[in-house]
Amino acid sequence: MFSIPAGSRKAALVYLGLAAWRENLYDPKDLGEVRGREVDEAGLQRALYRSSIGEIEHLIGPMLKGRRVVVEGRLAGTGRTALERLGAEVDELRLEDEKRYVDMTPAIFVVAALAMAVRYISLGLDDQDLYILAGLAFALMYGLRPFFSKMQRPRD
Amino acid sequence: MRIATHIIFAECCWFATSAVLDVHYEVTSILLVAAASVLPDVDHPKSWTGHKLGSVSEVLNRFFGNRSFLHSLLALVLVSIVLGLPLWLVSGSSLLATAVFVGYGSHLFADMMTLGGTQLFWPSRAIAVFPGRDEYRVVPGAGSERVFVAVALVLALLFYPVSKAGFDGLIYRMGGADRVYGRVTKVTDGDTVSVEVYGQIQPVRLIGVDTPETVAPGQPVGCFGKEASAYTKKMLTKRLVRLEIPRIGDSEDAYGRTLAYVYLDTDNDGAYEHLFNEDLVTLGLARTTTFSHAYRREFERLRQEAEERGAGLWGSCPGATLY
Repeated sequence: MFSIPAGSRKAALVYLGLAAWRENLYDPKDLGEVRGREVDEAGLQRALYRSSIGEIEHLIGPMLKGRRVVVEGRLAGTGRTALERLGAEVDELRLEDEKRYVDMTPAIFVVAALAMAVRYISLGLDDQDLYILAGLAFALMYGLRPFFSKMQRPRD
Repeated sequence: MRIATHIIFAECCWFATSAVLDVHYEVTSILLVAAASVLPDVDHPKSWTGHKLGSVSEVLNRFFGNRSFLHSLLALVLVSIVLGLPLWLVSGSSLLATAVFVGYGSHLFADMMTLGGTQLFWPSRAIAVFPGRDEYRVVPGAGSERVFVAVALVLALLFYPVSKAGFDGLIYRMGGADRVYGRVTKVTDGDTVSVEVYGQIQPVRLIGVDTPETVAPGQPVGCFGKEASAYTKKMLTKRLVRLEIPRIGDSEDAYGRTLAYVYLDTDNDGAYEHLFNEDLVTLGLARTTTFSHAYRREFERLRQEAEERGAGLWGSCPGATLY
């Protein structure tokens, strides 16, 4: 089992690289940025940060397969998916006072979409006022369409 | 957010609600919306409302914290019932209850758009936010709040005329109308007259009103029809009028009658500004039609008032129904 602090995808890989090194699971000289020298933990950390994500994944990937990785918090962005793709079983520890957010963007857009649907109801009812309103909602939805995905909260 | 921001946003929401739901409002409901919009901040002792309430605010803050219970859907429902229901019962209209709901709800929606969000689903501690991305939300007291106020103000100014005239009414007004002057030569019944324009006699049907039938073939004389007809005869016979024929929509009905608003010069100052169609509704001599036209909302409001007063046919004809 590896235990790492929360952070970005790259930070998680660096922490895992250091944890695996502490357990002597690989030779640091296999990492290109080490350039064949002897390194201490701080030197290895610098080398890992300088390395590309692909290179670190290539190095520590085989060691992660089937292993449990405990994260003290939450991995940002695609961190969790990236580790799971390498075969690790990721367990993110939630803090008690951690804030949970509910993104209401989809709910707001559903309401706007319903307003668009009113267009057809107004046609059935022959209600001009409602038809104009639905037209405005349609224009608004169509205008905001490119921003829809941008407005949503990224997955924690 | 500042108190002014909440009030401006609440009024914007009220005008939008009124425009969409066809709600007729007075100054009372505008003030009530503003009052309801500052209520949720009672749980924040440093806010304007909290400062005014002093220890009550501190107690609420100690029990629930800021932006929790009083900023939730549960509180919205409770406040709407506790404040809105008595107002509904006293006034006999759902208007004031709706005002409380919209005012209070607008505060929750505005706070949801701030960086801190709000615990909308209290007792759950989850923070509801819109939009989801932090960088798009309003930072209270910063430049983004000023932008928010500006946008709310512009929307409020846009929605205000729509709330008064309706979407359809506004478009009909923007389309304009052709104006002609003529002399009324004959009054057929309460809502149909003949007008001599440029030497030609033209049957004219008054837009937006429907008086009970008096001369329709095969139909009995409607309740209060004779009174409506007599009033139109008294007011319009041989009189010079200004006809306004809207440019949008049909200019004639199925019977070949010109559809028009009839204006009178009541002050003898040469300005034909008094809308006779409106008089028929105000005096309870006519029902309103449901067709879209420039003054549909105004006529509806006047019809409602006449009905409440029991004026004309609304008081004299027990079976009187809407158009």
